[in-house]
Amino acid sequence: MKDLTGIVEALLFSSNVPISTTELVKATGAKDAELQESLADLTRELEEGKRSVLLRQVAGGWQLFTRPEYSPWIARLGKVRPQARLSQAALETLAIIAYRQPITKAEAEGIRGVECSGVLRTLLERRMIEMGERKETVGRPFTYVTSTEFLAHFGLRTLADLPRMEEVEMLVGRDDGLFVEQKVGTEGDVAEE
Amino acid sequence: MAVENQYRVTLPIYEGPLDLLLFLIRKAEVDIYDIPIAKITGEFLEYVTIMEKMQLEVAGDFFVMAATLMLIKSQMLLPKPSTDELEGIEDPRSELIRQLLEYERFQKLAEDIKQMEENEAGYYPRGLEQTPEEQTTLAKTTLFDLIAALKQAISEIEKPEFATIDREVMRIEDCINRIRTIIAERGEGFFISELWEAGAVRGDIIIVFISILELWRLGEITVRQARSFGPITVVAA
Repeated sequence: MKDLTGIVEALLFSSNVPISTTELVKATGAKDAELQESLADLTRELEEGKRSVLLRQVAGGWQLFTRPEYSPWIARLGKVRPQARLSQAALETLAIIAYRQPITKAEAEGIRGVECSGVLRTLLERRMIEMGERKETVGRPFTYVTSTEFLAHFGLRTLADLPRMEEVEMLVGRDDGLFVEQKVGTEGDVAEE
Repeated sequence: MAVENQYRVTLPIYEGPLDLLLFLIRKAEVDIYDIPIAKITGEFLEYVTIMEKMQLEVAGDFFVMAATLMLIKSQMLLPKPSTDELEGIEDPRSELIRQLLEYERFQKLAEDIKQMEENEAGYYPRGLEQTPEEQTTLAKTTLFDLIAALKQAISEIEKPEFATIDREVMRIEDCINRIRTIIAERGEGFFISELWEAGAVRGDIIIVFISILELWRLGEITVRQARSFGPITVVAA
């Protein structure tokens, strides 16, 4: 076969959205293992060759990007990566959905202590979130989940790339176990009486 | 007119009561696990009042929180059970604290997410459209920062430089002269109530009476009354 790494590079160059491994396998006809090797090779070549582009994994796919150190020049060309320009309220709600998905409107409101309809609409419009399954509870309310655009916009491969809750706890400086379920009277206690 | 033309500010997306509480707790530099509930409740209500005065749309959530705070405050005032009964009895504040801590974490996560977006902006994918101008991003200011600034400004305005303005005290000589003038000008009697203006203080009225007594003693005037408890008229003697 013609140089697989070259083919992969061409495919990635041709696209302005992430291409999944499955799509690459389909387009190249290569085996998954070969493809992974090519992707690793390409990553290394771009790195070692000190090229101005790099290969990243975002939103469950592969995509070429320019290196951040070149961004000032690109910006001068008048190109700016669109920012979601989310309000504090929208960011908070987005964080809650990202960590607690699938989550209903009522559950999100419970955490924020505020009515969330407007913010949810904004997030849906910006395509940061989408409707999930209905929750099998009273009224069968819709749940909300983050979208693929959310991952791409924030440069995440998967949701696992989000900062871990424990790290946040450390940053906030509270490790008192307040979140550990409080011990309520157990059956043992009742039996003793 | 003044009322109708007042500024009316509506903020469709507001920060909520938990945000306000955290703001107040941080401002007071107190421990979140030991919130001085009376103090914080007072400040919370003060802010809600200011928001109402500014005609900001105060969401019902704020009033719910205000009610919760007052409930906790009242529970805190109840006599504490003895130590052996203490077990199993929760601090009335614990549910609120749990809620605040959870919310605080998501506020932090929201910052992280924002930071991730900023970092991500340095990587350019292919095919971005050229945008004519970049919009200015302003520094983050919350509604409460704004209200805090307003409160500060108001308190500065109201901080009075205490200058003592002495009340003009009516003097007996002046009062006597005034009565003489009135009698000379009118040539007829007048009600003594004419001698003090609306808002006269007790001292003024006493001075008027002393003046009348003095003039009466001097034989310059006579005092008449049509009936018991009726208005008193002053006439030239």
